[in-house]
Amino acid sequence: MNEKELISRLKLSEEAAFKVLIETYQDRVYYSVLNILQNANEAEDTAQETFIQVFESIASFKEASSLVTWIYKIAVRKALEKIRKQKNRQRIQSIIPWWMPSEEKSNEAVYLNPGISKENKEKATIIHKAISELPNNQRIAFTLIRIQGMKHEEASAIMQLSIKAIESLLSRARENLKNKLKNYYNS
Amino acid sequence: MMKTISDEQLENHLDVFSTMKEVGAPDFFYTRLHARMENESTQLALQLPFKPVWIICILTFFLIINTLLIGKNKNLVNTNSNKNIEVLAVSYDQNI
Repeated sequence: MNEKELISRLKLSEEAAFKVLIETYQDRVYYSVLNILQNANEAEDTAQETFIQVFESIASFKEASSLVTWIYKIAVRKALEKIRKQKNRQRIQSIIPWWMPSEEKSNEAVYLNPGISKENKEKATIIHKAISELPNNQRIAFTLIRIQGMKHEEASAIMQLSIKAIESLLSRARENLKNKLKNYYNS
Repeated sequence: MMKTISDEQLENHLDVFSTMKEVGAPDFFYTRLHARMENESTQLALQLPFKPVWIICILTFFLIINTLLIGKNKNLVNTNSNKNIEVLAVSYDQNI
């Protein structure tokens, strides 16, 4: 089934087409949001929300971009919503600690990719923590390009920003990371 | 103490990502998603009458009706009390 056919069948709300869509894109979407959120549970939840949104709004998809870019756009937006919610939750927790249930605290744990060797685990934890402290747009641009290896053009289409803006975000992210990592190298 | 680290040190640090493996979605992703969608649609149907917006609307409606009825009753009481006084005055041959 090609992309055009898949889209038209999705617009007809065919369940089989939806299953094909998920089987085709679930790994890419999950891996992307996992890299952004660094938490396996949150990543699965966000990937699910992404596909629900795709299913609900496929009728409004005008095919101006490819289907995968559109899905990535939704996934990044959902991941950003999750980050915002997490930050709000942490803010409330710091003001009124008894308000939030204690299980929410486990979300702060950093997910480590199984490919990372034992000796690199400390380094990976530190860089992930530094990336998570970057402003949202810098965090997304850096993750898509430097961690996932996307091209600038792809990231620009997903983030709906010009290539120059993406380059600027990357450069600022690098400067911020250099600043954040200095304590690790000084100790 | 250095101000920031060098580009080389940063690149060196970022090399940890080069060994990363692409992680796929967890098993039974579709099954869980399907179950969640079905669950959400059922819950939505059940939750609709209990949404705060509906409750606020219903309470506001009753409040308006109550205010209107109280206002109407007040006028009625005023007219009635005037009439009663007139009746009383007539029965005692007084003029008001």
